Amino acid sequence: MKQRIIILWILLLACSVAFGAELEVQSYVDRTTVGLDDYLKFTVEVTGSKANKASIPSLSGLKGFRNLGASTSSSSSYSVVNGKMTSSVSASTTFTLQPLATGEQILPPVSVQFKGKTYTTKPIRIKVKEGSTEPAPPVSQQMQQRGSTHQSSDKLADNMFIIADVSQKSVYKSQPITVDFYLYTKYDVRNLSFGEESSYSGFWKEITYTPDHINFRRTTYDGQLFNVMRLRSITLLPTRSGELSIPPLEMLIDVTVPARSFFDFGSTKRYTIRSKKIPIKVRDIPLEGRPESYSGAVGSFTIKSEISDTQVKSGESLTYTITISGSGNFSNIEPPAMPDVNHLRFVEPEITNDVSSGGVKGSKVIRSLVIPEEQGTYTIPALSFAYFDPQQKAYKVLKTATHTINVDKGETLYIPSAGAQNVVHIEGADIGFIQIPDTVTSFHLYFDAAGFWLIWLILALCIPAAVIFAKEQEKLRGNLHYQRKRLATRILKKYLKQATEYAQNKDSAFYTAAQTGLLTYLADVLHIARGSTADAVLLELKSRIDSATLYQRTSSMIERCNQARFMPGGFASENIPRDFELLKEIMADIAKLKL
Amino acid sequence: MRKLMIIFTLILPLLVGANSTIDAAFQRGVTAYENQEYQEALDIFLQIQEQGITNADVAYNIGNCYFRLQNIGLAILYYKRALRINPAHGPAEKNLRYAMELTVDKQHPATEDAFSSTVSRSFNRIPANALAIAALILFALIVITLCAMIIFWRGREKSLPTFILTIIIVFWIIALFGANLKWRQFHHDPTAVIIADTVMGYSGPNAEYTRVFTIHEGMICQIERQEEGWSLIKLSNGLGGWVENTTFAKVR
Repeated sequence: MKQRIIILWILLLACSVAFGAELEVQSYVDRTTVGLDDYLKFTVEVTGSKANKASIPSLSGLKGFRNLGASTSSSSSYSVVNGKMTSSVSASTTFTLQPLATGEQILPPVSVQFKGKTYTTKPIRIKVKEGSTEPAPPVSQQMQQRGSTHQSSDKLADNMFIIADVSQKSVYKSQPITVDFYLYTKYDVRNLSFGEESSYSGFWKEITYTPDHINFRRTTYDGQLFNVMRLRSITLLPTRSGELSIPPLEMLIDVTVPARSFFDFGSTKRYTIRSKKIPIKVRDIPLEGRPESYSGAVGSFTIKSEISDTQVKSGESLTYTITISGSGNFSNIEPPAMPDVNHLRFVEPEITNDVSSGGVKGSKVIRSLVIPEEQGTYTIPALSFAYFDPQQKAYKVLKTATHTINVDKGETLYIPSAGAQNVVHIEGADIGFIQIPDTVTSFHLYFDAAGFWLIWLILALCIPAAVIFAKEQEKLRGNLHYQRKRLATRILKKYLKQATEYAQNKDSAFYTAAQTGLLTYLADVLHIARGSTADAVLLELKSRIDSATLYQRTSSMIERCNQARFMPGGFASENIPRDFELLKEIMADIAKLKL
Repeated sequence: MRKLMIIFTLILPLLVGANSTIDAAFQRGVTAYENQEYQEALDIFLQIQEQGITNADVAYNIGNCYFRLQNIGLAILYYKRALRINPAHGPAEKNLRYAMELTVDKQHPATEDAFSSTVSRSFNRIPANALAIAALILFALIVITLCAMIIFWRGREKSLPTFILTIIIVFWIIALFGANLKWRQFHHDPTAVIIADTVMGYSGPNAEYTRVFTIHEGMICQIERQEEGWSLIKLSNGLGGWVENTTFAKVR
């Protein structure tokens, strides 16, 4: 049983292999010898019952040719043989290839994938020749030189070519080169288009002219009549030194093939033509003798400077113009920096390039607005501009003229906007001016002055003086008589102010004042209410003091006051001084008591 | 009081009279300087100084004259002298800094941390006499407080006056110490300025010793020791060496 299954499997596999093997892949070209200007058609054909299911072939590993595109087509055919119908499908892919180099080239094998199987074609050898292998189309009627003995060539390369007109083939680095490409043709040309752009390594390139329509003029070249047209102008600046080359310009040109017979309506044929590669020798600009102000200008220049006005008012403006004219690498010229003049403000310059003829000849105009900020006379210094002259192989330094500006005081003060305010900066360093004091006095340290130390001594002496003073005070405080005197004065001031006055005037009102004063004083001392009766006060006093004599003296004093006040004839003005003294003594004695 | 007034009015004209001759001479110096006759101005200012006038402005003006006469070393010396008399003399400080930029040798200021340099700079700026006066006033306050304690606080609680007195004494000691330092600085300033064009420093007080350094006019240095004819100086960058006495001038 197992064996049977295996056999069945083998049969099935064989069947599928037989079906797959029906696919056939072929590749062929339209010719094996081809010119550089021609195109090669390379077709890959897949035939089989299911050919349209096969993968689209790819041209990998193609060398020496450029793939310009592919077109695919397929066809089916049916045939009946012995009553048995077989169908065949063929799918072909046609590549248009452009040869890139002469010599023997090989078209690599092409592979096609189908049902996991790879079908590969054989490689094809192709011989690539210069020019074109095809017969050139007949030249234009107008170009046929009537009566000329010179037989025009029928080779395409002789009848249609691009010439690069280079200004110089040996230059210095940064020295501009202009290249004009001209198309010379004897054919009727329809369409012109640029082919693939080459890379200009080692150059900085600028296209300065491109035509916008077909614009031929007749000219003779090498004794033959041609239609000529400028295709492109470029300016090149070599960015490095060494052996460089200008790459060819490639053009795709449709040439009209005129009708040969009545039934031929003519056709156009596309050609690709290129200019020749042109070697350029670039030398380095010598380092020796390079001026400091050199900033990369190469060529031949002149410089001119002018100012619009020499007499202005502060705050007004004038124009300072520097014109660099001549021929050279204008795009690389660094304009000289505006000078730094105090109180002259140079507004960021406006730079205009007026360069024609391929960006080489012309002038660069640097125009700056100058605003004097203060009055005075200012000089714009000469600015220097250095360049390398390739003709004379030397550096040249040009200098502008100096300009003097007189600035008068302006009517309005120049006030810059907040953003453009001046920052005051040091204009020059110097020592300060001499000092001019009002009077010149000699300097002395107080520590060296005797008077100073005398003050210290005097101050120090204050301390023993204070001690002596304090001792004296203490001594006085112990003296009884002195004490009483001091106390009496105090009491007098407070309670007997009026009585003292009356006593001096020997007025009878003294006794009233004296009595009131004494009673008030006693009331204060004994801490009883003021205005208590004399008896009440005396009673309180008697109970508080031990000294009977003092009590008696007090009560007698009050009695005397009563007598003087109320008894007729009790008042005698001559008694007043004695009584006043008595009163003072009583009061001082009471004050001394510790109540 | 009236007597004092009379004495003052009698002395005043004498003082003014003495001063006016100097003031007039000074004015002549100023005029000469203004007319850019620097040598004449210098002679006048130097004469004023020889009359025993110690004045920062005069020293400063002499420095300016020397500067104008392209004598950087002497200019630096006199700016230093002006600053010795008045450490807070702003123009002298500024000119000194400028003049020091023009010397042959670069002079490094002694490196100090920010705190100590601020402290020393502010101490430098205090005039010596201000400290002396401060010490005197504080001493007067001490005396007053003591007297008050002796006379009025007798037999009373004395903690408050004692506290006040302690504070005043602390300040007084600081002021006295500072004033003393200033006095010492003024009289014993070891700073000197090189006035010879080129000066060789040796490892000993003789040209036969090893040459240690070469310095030029305007270098500020400190004198550390003096032997006969030779002095050991120390530069701001720490280098030390013996130079001849004739090559420098002391600021003092």
